[in-house]
Amino acid sequence: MLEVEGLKKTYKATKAVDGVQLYLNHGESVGLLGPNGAGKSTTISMMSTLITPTSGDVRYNKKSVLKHPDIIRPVLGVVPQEIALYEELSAYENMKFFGKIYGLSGKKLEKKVDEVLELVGLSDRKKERIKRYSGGMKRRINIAVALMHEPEVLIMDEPTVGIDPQSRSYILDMVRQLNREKGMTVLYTSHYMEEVERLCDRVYIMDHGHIIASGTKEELKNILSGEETVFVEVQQMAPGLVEKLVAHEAIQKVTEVEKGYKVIATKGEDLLADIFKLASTIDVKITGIHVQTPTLEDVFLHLTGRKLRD
Amino acid sequence: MWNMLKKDFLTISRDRSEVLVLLVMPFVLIAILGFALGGINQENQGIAEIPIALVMSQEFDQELAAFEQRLEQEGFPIEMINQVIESAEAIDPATMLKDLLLTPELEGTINTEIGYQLTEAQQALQDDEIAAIITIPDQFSYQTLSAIYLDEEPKVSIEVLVQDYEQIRSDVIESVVTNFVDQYNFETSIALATGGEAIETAVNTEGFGETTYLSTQEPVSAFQYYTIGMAVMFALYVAATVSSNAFKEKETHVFARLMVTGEKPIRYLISKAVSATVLTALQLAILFVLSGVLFQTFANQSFSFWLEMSVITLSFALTVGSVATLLTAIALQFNNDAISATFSGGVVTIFAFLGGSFTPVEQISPVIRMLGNWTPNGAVMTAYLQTIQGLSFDAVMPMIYRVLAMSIVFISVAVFIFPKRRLA
Repeated sequence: MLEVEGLKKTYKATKAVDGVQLYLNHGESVGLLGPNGAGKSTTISMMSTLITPTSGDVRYNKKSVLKHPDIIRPVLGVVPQEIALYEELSAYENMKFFGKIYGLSGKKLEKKVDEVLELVGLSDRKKERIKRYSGGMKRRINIAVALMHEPEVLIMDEPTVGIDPQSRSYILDMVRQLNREKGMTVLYTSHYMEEVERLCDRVYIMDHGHIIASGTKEELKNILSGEETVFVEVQQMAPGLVEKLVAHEAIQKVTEVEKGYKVIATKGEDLLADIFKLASTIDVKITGIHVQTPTLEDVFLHLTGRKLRD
Repeated sequence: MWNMLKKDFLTISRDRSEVLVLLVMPFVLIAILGFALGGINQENQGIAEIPIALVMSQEFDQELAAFEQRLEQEGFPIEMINQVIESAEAIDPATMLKDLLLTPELEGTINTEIGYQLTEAQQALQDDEIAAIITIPDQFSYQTLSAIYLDEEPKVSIEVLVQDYEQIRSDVIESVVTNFVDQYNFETSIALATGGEAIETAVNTEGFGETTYLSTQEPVSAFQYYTIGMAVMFALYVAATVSSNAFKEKETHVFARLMVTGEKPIRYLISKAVSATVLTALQLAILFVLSGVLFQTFANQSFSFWLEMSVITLSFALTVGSVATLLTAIALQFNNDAISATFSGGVVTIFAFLGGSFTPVEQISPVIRMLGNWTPNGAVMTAYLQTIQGLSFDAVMPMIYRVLAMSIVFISVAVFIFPKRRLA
């Protein structure tokens, strides 16, 4: 349905996007995961025909949207990372304005505004100006505007940045509903791996302008099939323990987390006993330990040596 | 387009600081300047009476005798010669112009002195004792009669020498003479076409008095002057406001969002021109009505006066719209709103000074007046004041053509530099 072929974007000497390949099938929910500055937003802007790529192409139903942007614009809904709304206007006025831009009018427009406001849960606050809304409410209207024309493809660029957990949960449920119940194709970019994990069927992992891995969640986690993640909770943080853990031949990475350490190690070793032994040699008291199946965060860490939010 | 216009109107009208700048401030300044400078203005400004010299370098009787002799030489029958000479006395343009300038209807507007010799008049003009010299040259009547009856090309014409640093006064004199000449030519053409029978009835001084567009209204009052001055100055801020809002739309990614919907950049740019035009027209209308209602600025004016004011207002609104378009195109193309800030922070003030919003600049320097008339606000201010003075609309039109030409240039440049399809 939507294919991206060898997309590149260079700003002077900086390669923001370098040969990105990806595709979206009809009705799919696809995640584009990567840290800030990975090139996700630039990729999306090129897919939305907003900026011209240095090279490469984007095809919608086999036709180049770069040459014919009008073929994709009517079926595309884009939720930008920023709150792209008129702050001086109310939610209702914003939605009516964009609805009219999309060609809706009369009763159809009024009905659509009500329907989408209901979907984002802001019907009772529709007359308030956007500038008086909380961050979470603004995000919801930001999404609502992109839904006014019932797009086939919804591209969402980090739609939950900087909002409270309750609003985030609301938005994630809403996106899932749009994908599962209305069959909307969704490309969801985020640097929150738990969001992508919760929403998406397939995931592209992006870093420094490249797609470094792609596949279903299971396929990606299988990259770490020979490894396991162990959380070691300690009474008091001890840098000496990190040195000893890193020196262990089965342990590949040790990162500091809240109240302890996250250890990625090769499976099959008697690791837990060794960790207890190493801790006791420097009098560090372990208060808890548990083994976790790998997450996409772990995959990213494995592939890049960095955390998503570094 | 209506959708975009409504959105612009709502976003600007809900911003208190914008309303303050666009409506409250000019109105307060009109009130302050109108009351504070009312007395001074009544005395020193306006065109209460324009002193001019009419220099007659010919003797009509001699001219007529020479013409009679000429007709005899040409072999015209004596009866016909008598008839022509009799008619000629009634249609002598020099006499008619003198009568027109001395008509009581021009009293208080133009004060015509007749006794001057040409050199004395030139000295008086230099000494600022008079504002213009109208010279009827030697052989003028003879040449005119020859042109009418013998179909000869006239070799002399009425000469008007004006002090060019007071635009309105110059325009008044020019208007009177031009109207006289046009009307004279028109009437004599009709008379000749009808075999000369209509000459006596068509050519009379009362008729000319009525056909000049000069009125005998009060001079421009302080309230009138500053209502126009402040209105045209603050109207320029509309352009900066609209372009600044457009840049804000880009910064907050609303512009990008609009482009994703399939909205054409050129339509967006045109919407800015329309918004600024409508907002300016609205702003000027509100200021004129408020000033009119509260200070009786335009009391007892005719329908045609308001029609002319409306044409000037719409022309200026269109020019402000084109300025807004140009500022928007520059700000969006170069991704920098410094242009709007520079325009509202410096250019408006300079234009307002040159255009005469603060003080009548022709009293400072003719060069400043000339420069001012090449600013959109200065050109329309001249047009407004000319209309208030009662000048014919023909005299006002050049300034309107000028601002409309400016609009075309601004819009063309804006369209040329505005991003056509994508943002980068």
